[in-house]
Formats: sequence, C-alpha cells, structure tokens
Amino acid sequence: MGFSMPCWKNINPRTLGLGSARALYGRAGGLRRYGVWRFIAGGLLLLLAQGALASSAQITNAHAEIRENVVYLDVDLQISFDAEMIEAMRNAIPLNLTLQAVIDEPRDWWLARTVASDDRHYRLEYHALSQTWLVTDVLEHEARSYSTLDGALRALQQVRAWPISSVKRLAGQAHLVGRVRMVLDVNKLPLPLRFPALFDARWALNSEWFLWSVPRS
Amino acid sequence: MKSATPFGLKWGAFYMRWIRRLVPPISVMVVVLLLVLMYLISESLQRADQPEHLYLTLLGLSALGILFLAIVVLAHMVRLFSHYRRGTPGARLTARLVLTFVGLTTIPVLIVFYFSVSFIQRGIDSWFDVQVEQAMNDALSLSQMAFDGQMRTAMNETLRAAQQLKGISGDLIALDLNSVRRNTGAHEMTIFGQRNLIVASASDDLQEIVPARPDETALSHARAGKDFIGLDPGGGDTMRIRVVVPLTAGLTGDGSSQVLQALYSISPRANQLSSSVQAAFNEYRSLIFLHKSLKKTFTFALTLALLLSLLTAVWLAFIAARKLLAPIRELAAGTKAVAEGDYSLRLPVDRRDDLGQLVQSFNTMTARVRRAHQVMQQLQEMADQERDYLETVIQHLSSGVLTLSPDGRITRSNSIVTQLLSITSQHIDGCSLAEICQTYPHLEPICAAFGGLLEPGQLPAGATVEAQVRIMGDAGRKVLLSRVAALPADDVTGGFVMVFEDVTTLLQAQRDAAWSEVARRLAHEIKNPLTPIQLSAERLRRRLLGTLEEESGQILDRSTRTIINQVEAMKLMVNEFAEYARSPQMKLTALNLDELVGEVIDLYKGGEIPVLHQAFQEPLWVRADVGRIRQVLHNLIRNAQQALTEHGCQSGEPRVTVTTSLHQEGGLALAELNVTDNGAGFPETMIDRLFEPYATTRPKGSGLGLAIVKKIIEEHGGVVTATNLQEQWAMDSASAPPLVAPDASPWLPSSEPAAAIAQGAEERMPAVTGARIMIRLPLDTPGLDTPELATPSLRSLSSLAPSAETAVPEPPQAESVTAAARSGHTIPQDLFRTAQVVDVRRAEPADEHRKSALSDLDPPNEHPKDLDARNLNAKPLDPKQLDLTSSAEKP
Repeated sequence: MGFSMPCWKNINPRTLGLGSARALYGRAGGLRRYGVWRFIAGGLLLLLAQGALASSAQITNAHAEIRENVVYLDVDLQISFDAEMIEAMRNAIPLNLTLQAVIDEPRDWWLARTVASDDRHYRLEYHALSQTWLVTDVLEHEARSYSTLDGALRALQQVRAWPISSVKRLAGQAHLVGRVRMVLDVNKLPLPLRFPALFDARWALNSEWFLWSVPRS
Repeated sequence: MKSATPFGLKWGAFYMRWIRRLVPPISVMVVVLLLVLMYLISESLQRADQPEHLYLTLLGLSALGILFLAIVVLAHMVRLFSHYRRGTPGARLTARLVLTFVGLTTIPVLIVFYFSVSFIQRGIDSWFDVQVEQAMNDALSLSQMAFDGQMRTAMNETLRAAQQLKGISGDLIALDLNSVRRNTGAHEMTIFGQRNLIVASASDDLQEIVPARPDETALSHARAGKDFIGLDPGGGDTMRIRVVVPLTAGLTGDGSSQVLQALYSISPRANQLSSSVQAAFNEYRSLIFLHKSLKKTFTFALTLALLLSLLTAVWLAFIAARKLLAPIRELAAGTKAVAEGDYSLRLPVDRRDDLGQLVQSFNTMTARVRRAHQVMQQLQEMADQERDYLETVIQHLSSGVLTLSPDGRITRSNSIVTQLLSITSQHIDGCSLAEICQTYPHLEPICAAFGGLLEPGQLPAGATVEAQVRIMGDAGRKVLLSRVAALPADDVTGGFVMVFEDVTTLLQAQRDAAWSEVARRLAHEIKNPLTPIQLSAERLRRRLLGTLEEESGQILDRSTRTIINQVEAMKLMVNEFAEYARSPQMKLTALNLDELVGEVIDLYKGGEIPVLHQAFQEPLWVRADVGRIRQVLHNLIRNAQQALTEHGCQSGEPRVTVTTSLHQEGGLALAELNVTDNGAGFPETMIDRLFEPYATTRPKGSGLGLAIVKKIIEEHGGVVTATNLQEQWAMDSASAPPLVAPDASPWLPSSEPAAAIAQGAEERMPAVTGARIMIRLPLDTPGLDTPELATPSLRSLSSLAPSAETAVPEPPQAESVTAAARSGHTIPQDLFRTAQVVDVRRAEPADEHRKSALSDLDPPNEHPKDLDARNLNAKPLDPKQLDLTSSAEKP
C-alpha cells in the first residue's frame, strides 16, 4: 500500500506514520519479512485491538560518532512490557527483539536509497531453574543473566558502540540521514501467538523510527 | 463525443464479457489454492520446523483467496437479486435452487464446525492436569534442591578464599588469586574494584579472555556487605554457580570495598538432568500459557476452512443453478418472444437430456408457428391486394357505389357518390343513411325511397329495388337512377349495396330530342296549309268586299283580316318552332358579359318595372354569339317583368336584377349570370320542366322562351338552372341548413315581411321570395379558339388537351361555328371543367387577377340547399309575353 504512494519531496519522516516512513525509506528489513501481510491484516483488524497500549518501546536518544573510520552508534531506549508479555516470558516463551539501524540518502521525488544498515538481535527469556532473566545477543552468541527483569531491561536499554558502517561507504553522498528502531520479531514467537501478536496492542512493542544525524569525517 | 460513448460502451462490454468468462476458472484456481493453503496451515500448526514467515504468508494468501471468493459470491448474489426484482425469466427458480443447495451444504458444514470446535476446546483442555502441573513444579524444585548442597559448599569455599585474599597486598593479589582459585575448586574467580573495574581474574579456561561479569544486583548486594549466591545459566547448556562476596583490601587507599566473584562448574550429568527438567517444565508451562491462543488458532483455521467450504458451496450452487436452468431460462425467453410475435427465435440444443428434448420440441413448435404465420401473412397480403384492386375498380366507376352494413351504416363508398349526392364531407363511412339525410336535407328523397328497405329483413337477399330519385344538387336538379340490393347474408358481410347513376342529362336529352322532332314536324305540317289559307282569305276579301253590302262587307273585312292576322301570327310561331328545331350558325366572339348586360338593360330604362344591374368588379370575358346571348337576356328579363306584372311582387317594389359574378366550382371558374325577380317564383309543378318547350302556364304562351334560352346556353357549352329564392327557415333546428342561399343576391331584403316569416314558421316551410334563373358560361380561353369548339358537345378530353397546349393566345375574334342543336343538352359539366382546369393552369402567369378572384370564391359547400320545388308557389307564365322573334335588336 505504502509503495504505491507518490513520492513527494522528502519531509521529516517523524511526522509521518509507520507506513509513510517505510514508503519514504524503502526496503527496510521488517518490511521484507512480513510487512505486506501485516499491513493488510493489520489494516483490517486494527480496530479490534484498541486495548491498553501497555507494551511500548521508544528510542530516547541515538548518537553516532566516528572512531577509526567506523561509524559507531550509541542508542538509548525505553522499553516497557505489558503484564501479558512478562507472563509469557515467565511461562518459558522467549522474546526476540531486533534493533534496526539504517543510513539513507534521501532523494527528491524518489525513494531514499539505503547506504548502510545493520540489525542487532536480542533474545530475552526467563530461566526457571536459576530464576534469572537471560539476555542473549543472538549474533554474538553472548548471554548474560540477570537476577531481575529490571536488570535485564537496563542491559537492553543501553546499546553502546554499535558499528554501523565504515566511513568509506558513506563517502560521496552529500546528505545522509540515519534512523534506528526496535521491533519485536513476531515470527519467532510460538505459532499460536503470531497472529494475535500482529493485532494485539499488548504485543505492540515496535518503536517509531528515530532519526539521527550521520557524522561526516 | 458521440462516437466516444459507443466506443467506451463497446470496450466496457468487451471487458465485462471477458471478466465473466475468466471468473469461473480463476475461482476454481482460487479454491484449489485455498485447499493447498489450508493443508499447509494445518501442517504448520503441527510442525515447528517450518520456515518462520510461512505461517503468516499462508494466512494472508488465504485471506485474499477467501476475499476473492466472497466478492465473486457477492456479485452472483447481487446479480441474482437484481434479476429477481426485475422478474427475469428463471430468476426465481435460480434463487430457489441456490437456496436449496446452500441449505444442503451449510447445515452439515456448520454442524461439523460446531463439533470440531468443541472437540478442539475440550481436547486442548484435556492436555492439562493439576497433578501434572504440580509434578512439574515439584521436579523443578527438586532440581533446585539438588544444587543447594553444591551451592553451600561453593559459598563456604568462596568465603574462605576471601579470607585468604584479604591479607594480600594489591600487586600480589593477582598472582595469588589463581592459586586460591585452584584451592577452592572454582572455575573462575574475579575481583572487582571501584566502579566495577576488574582488579584481578583467574580462570580455569585459558581461552576466556574476558571474565564473566555479575549483574548489578549481585554487585550491589556484595557492596552492601551481603553475600550473593545463585545459579548462572550461562549461554549454552552449562550451568554454573555464581558466588559474589565482599572483599575488603586496602588497595585503593580510599577505603572502598572490593568484591570477589567465583564461578563454579556443575557436573555434566547434573547439567544434563537439570536441562532436561528445565526443558520439560518450559514445554509444559508454555503449553499452559498458549492453550487459549492455541484454541483460537485452531478455531481460526477451522473458520477459514468453513468459510472456504461455504463460499465454494455457494459459488458452486450458483454455477450449478445457472448450468441447470440455462435451457429453462432460454425456453422462458423464447416463449416470451413467441408471445410477442417473434417467431424467428431458435434456441441452441446443446444437451441430450430431457431439457434438450424440450428445447428441441420448442424449436419445432416455433418453426411450425412461423410457417403458419408466413402463410397467413401471404394470404393476408393477397386479400389486401384483392381488396385494393376492387377498391380501385369501384373508385373508377362512373356510378356512385355505397355499401352498407346489415344495420344500415355505410361501410364503404367511392368518391363519385359524394359528387353525385353533393355531399361535401369526404368521411361518410360509419354514418347511416338517415344521419346523412339529416345533415344534407336535399337527399331526403333518397331516404324516403330507400330508408324503409334498409331495415333487416325488409329486403330479401339478392333482391334489387330501383327508383328514380330527384334531388337538388349544386348545379341544379339531378335525376338519379338508384338501386339498392341486399347482399347475401353470410358470416362475413351481408348488408346492402346502393348504386347511383346520374340520368339527368340522359332524360333531358331524350326530352329535348323528342321536342325538337315535334317542333320540326309541327312546323312542317302547319306551315303548308297556312299560305293557301292566307291566299284564300285575301282572295275572298278582294273579290267579295266590293260586292257585298256594307254590313256584310264589314263582317267580311273583319273576318278576313282576322284570318290573315292569325295566319301571320301562326307563321311567326311556326318559324319560331323551326328556329328551335334547326341548327343555326353561330358567330363566336370574345364578349364582355357585363358590357352586353349593360347594353340590354339600357333598353328597359323608363319601364314600369326597373331592371338593375350588379356587375362583377372585373370584366368577365366569354366566347359567345353576341346576338344569341342578347336574345337570352331579353327573354329572361321580359319573362321576369311579365311574371311581376301578372303575379305581383312578394315584397317592396317589383324589380328585376341582373347579376354577373365569377363562380368557382371544383377548381374551375365560370362566368355566372343571374336574373332574379322578387315575384312569386316558379310553380312547383313546373320547375322540373321549365326549360322544355310548351312548358308554360299562360293560356296563350308558346312555352318556347326558356326552351330557347336553354338551347342557346347549351350551344355555348353552359348550363342554365331555375330556382326559387326562399327566405330563411323558420325552424330553429341546430342541424338546419344555411338559412339564406349564400349566393342569393345581397340586395334581397334580409328583413322580409314578418308576416311571411311567421306564416312560414307556422307551416314549417320556407316562403318563396322570388325566382332566379342562373346561367353559367365557361370563361373565354384564347387557347381554346379551335374549330373543334364548333361542336362543343362532342369535344373530348383528348382533343381538348393538346389544343390547349398548342394554341397560341391571340385576341378574341369572331368566328362562325355550327352548334349541334340536338346534342347541346349532352354537353357535360366535365367538359368545360376540364377545359377550365387547363385554362387556369395556362392563364396563371398572364391573368393574375383572375387567379386571385378564384381564390376568393365561395367553396362549393355553401351552395344553396334550401331550394325545394315542392314548396314553390304557382307562377303562371304568359306565353304571349315571351319574345319568340329571336331578334336581339328589337326589344
């Protein structure tokens, strides 16, 4: 739906909705996975899920800097879980969270071109035997356990020195815009939860895109 | 723009046709695809190793497919509904059939759906048991308890290690840490200093570069002086025991505390067992948590299957109903078309079942009906042609023909009837004879003669009744030979046929011929002895007058003079008879009628009875013999004066009026001359024979004056008629004819004596106010100055027309022609009518004023209808007063 929109001169995507941001910035990762169906089904059934928006994720700050010809990103998030999600985790259902960072080159009257992008995948789960909360960086195969959920959340809400791209890839582009967001990977949920999670506000953990300025060397 | 709309419509219809053709195969494909999707969804619900995105993709595809099916079914429903409302043939049956099909499929499917859902609900619920749940919790607790001893040992060992490390200074502690670790049996031991910086670390695994950090909770516990112990699940299946205790050392100099963390490995067996318990517990817990969602998911999948089944069933019901009812629909449409008269329809026979036979029978039936219809149409056309032929024949008969229905109403008539009967309306069909007689009173004699015969049963079939009827037409009296015959009364027609023939001229001709013969013989027979009588009388007078006595001489003288005078008078009369009978030479010249009338009237000036002249505003040129026309005028004027002298006038002063005018009749122009008096009129008994010789009421009249007038006028190709002028009808009937003859002289007093009117009103009869003799002569036509005119009665149309075309207009000049004396009466009106038509056509450019005069003339239907000879008062004519000298110069 979003792809059929005419592409006007770029405006600040923060003022637009999710679909608009996707239309402007094109082939985002989540879109390639289940975005289309999510859009169709979501549009039809969104009205059914006007419950409390208890779960939320919000990027509060994102800052990038160049060190040794690499763009490093520090992200601060604010994540809050609905009781339903906590209950699910306590019942041995892990949550997979993905942090998506993209650097775009906006183009007038056309879709933005993605210059660089990177994802970080985290898994948050409760370990019943040790009664600890486990945060796993899926790609790094690094797991840390926390005695409390707050401890685990604190670890998740601070991402430091995330290498996004080399400076070399960004050279030559006059104007670049970076954006970052957090999404819940619904497809990694158990099957019976996937369809409800698409339309249930309690499972709506996706944050808006947060724009950050790309530092130039 | 005009062509854009049909083009757009054409393309719209083209696309709609293709869409209708494509929808069924696409729907079949969608149904098959949905079945596959259902299978895949059901598979993905059972298997966990399917690709992550498959499930939602399948759901989305299924939703689209079902949406498509729903749209197709909705379109079918809308179409069926609109057909139902419009009453399209077969729509009600289709609706009923579809409802039956849908009912047959929906009810079992819904039953199956209901029980499936309830089985799923109960089946999933039956997975869970309180005891099992308790057992799982107990197993977990047991596992935890199994680690308790090890954890206590690890705590003691760590506390002991902390004691050992307390006394060691900063630089050495890193060296001693490893030995202390080995003594305690810990897998890894780390000291955290200020800001949680690692002060020293020792590990059993040399490959681990970065030591594992405790979480904030453990560190804050230790810094608060409390010990922390817990299980660390680590990354994989290897669990460790984590102990964090405070370690005070004077390394930083500011007194801040340090923390010692020790990690102890657990035996692989214990790890395996605990992992197994954890996995089972997790599985069970997740099942408990997901069982509601699982129910929803299964129900959702079932609902999808149900929707698919229902929509497919409804769609197939529509398809099946359409296929099944297609021939019935076509039959209904075909029957409707046949009912509306379209027999050309032929339905396609594309099936061999009972319906196919029905369609075949229908086609056979329509083919036969079509053939019968064609034969009927041919017969109808033949009958029409026959009727048209008969109609044409009847229209061209010289006799008037009327057919009447058995109830006496006119069913058909030819155009001659209206001419013969002087009926102005062209639409008399449907009227009865009585109604026509009421509208046209001059036809009363016909009704009187035949009215009684037209009743049913009065006239036997095949019988014919013939009668001579006299009516008053436009051009005077007419004698009609009328016959009425009853038609055979079969199923179709019956009724009567009436035939009218105008025998006026024929009878007149017979009479004229007889009189001419009588006059000729009489003159011959009488003339012979007259001369000897006269000579004898003169001899007697000459010989004896001188020899007789005075008294006898006087007697002789008186007697012989009387004889001689009377013989002289008889000679004159005989000559007049001879004049009437012979064929005189005529000298035709162009004559201005009004000029001649003026000349003649001048001679009567100063007489007892004044003669007035009403001239037409334009010269009326006629081609005539001046002397004879003058004689006609003298005869008529004297006749009128004598009538006034003898019988007196009806009102006012006695007077004779001569009027000239232009008369229009049937598209031709005639010069009309009226001689009118205000006397007592012609006697009723005489009026039919007024122009015959010896038709006189005077004791001494020869009765030849008007006969000569008629003869002369007919020799000139004209007509003469005599009528009585009548006052207005005293009746106040709405259907009464015009009260005063429209062409009655305008100087007639409109307010005639009231007594006369009152008397007329009492008698219900019009009173006679005068007599009129009307002469009509053809206007002079230069193109007609041909020798053929010498015998006008014998002129034929064929000889007339070319002469009219070839003749060159030239000034009128005198010529001498021989009139056919005995055929003058046969001069038909048609002759000079036709000539006049030619004249009008030819004279148009040269004679515009005449044309304008023609257009101003009264229409034929305004001719007098009030002339009825039966009501005329007797007006005896004095034969002595008639001028029989035929001398134009001596009045």
